[in-house]
Amino acid sequence: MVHAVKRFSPGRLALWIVLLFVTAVALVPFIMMLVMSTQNNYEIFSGASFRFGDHLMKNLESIAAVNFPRSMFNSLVIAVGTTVLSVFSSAMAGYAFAKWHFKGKKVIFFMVLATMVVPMEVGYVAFIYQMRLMGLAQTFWPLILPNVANAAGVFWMTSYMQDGVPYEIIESGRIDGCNEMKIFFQLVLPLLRPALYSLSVIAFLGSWNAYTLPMLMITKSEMFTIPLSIASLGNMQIADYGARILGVVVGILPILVIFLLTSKYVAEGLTAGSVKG
Amino acid sequence: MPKKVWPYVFLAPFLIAYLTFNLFPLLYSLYISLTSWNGFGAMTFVGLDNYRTLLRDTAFFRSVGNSFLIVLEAMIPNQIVSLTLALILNYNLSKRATTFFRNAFFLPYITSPIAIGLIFMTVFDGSYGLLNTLLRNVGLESLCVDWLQTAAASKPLVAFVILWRFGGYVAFVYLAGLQSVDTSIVEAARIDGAGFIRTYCSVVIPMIRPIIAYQATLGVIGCLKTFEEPLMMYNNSYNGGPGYAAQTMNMRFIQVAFKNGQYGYGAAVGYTMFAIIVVTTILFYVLANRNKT
Repeated sequence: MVHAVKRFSPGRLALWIVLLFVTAVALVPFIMMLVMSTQNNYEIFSGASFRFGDHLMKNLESIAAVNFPRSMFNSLVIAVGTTVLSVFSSAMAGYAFAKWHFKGKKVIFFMVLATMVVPMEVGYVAFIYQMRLMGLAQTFWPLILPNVANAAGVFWMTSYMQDGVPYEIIESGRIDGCNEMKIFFQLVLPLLRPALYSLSVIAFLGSWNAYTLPMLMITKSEMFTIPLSIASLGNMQIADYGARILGVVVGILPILVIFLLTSKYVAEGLTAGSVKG
Repeated sequence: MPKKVWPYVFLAPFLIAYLTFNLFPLLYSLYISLTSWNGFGAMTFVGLDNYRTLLRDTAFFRSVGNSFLIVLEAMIPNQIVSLTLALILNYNLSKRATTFFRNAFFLPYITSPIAIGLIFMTVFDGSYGLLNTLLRNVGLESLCVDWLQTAAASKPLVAFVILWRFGGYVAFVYLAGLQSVDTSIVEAARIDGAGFIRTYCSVVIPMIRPIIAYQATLGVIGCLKTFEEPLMMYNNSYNGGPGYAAQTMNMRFIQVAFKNGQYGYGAAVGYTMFAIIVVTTILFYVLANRNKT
């Protein structure tokens, strides 16, 4: 919507003050964590301040001892696996729903939608047992497999393809004699590129941040993911608060970097999906 | 391959994963809720016994009450704040400014909830926390309390953390909705003499009402499932702070099923939570979409 006035006005100033205040509220906890992660106990307990201390290296040594680099690697493996599998399965399923007619389509699509309301945690009671029976309990698979079926991803891919992929392209592939797999991978997928980027980053974030299932499945500390390591920092009865906070900072830093590099895709993906629904 | 088979081929990876790793455990948990089982030994079928016990489980009902209070204290302010922010962001900001605010507002949303809980544990700490330091510095020392040890404060604190996490993100969802409103309708309202506030309240907001209803429904579901933030704010304890004041349904479920090892009874708690969430969601969605204009 276009408003006539763009020059300076008191109203406009007020809007900016509100926006900057909200920005401060959003960012100050992050900045404070950064500062505290460089302090020692004495500095932290003398009250929150925004003066950097010089204990960063000492705190880094403390958290390196709790296997932090290892959990970061674990989180990366799980998140990449989840992202690749869930993006492909969502794109393929979305293609089936958007561009094909088949028996049971409505029922299956309704099931997909219903999944978004269900608290999946309820199924974990049996899932842990199932994984044990399948011999997967002490692997990373239990953290990947349940997320391969990504209901929100399928829903979004379906609505994206309804408008974004013209039937003419599919038909032209058939006339050229391509088989259906080739049509999907060579003609349809390239059209989905922006949506695939968004979906990938969102799937990655979801997996990287997941806590409940890893907490229930993983017992060995060398298999910990980042949120598990952060939670165990919270549990530690260490007097070393700076190190504990540095753990949080190091744990969320990769996510912040990924987000800032891909913020356009993340923001578009997250908002487009929600407005359409 | 016959053409009729292809859609099922495309559907297969999703459907196989869905049936094996989502639907099957969900249904199997329903069966487990009818048994007595400690997670390892034999399952003894006990019929509806677990659900009968649940009817007298005051700890569970307290957690249900807590979850609903969190819905009231977090979801409603969240929609109001986000919508107001979206209206402000829609006020002709430059593209660069919009991108800046978007990135700043999205940061809390993409941060792991476990980290958020721990961050706010330090913010609300009674002695060195940011909140009390701020209050002391502006001379409001009398307002300082040990926030995390005060039962009355716990749900509002959790609600604030939820608002902090989601507010900016939902604002941008609403902004996308506002930008889809036809400008000529707004112009027409202004020409008819409607002021700024009048234009928004009687023209723009009714037009994005479906988006508001949808976001509010998502908010209800999310708040009812609250788990990680209170867990970490209260030092990784499943009791949810002083006097169980912030123990949510989901925390109670995980405590009973996995921490206490009562898998059978825990599954019954989980399924009851499931039913509560589904019924509330449907009721809320129907109410929010009533008298559609």
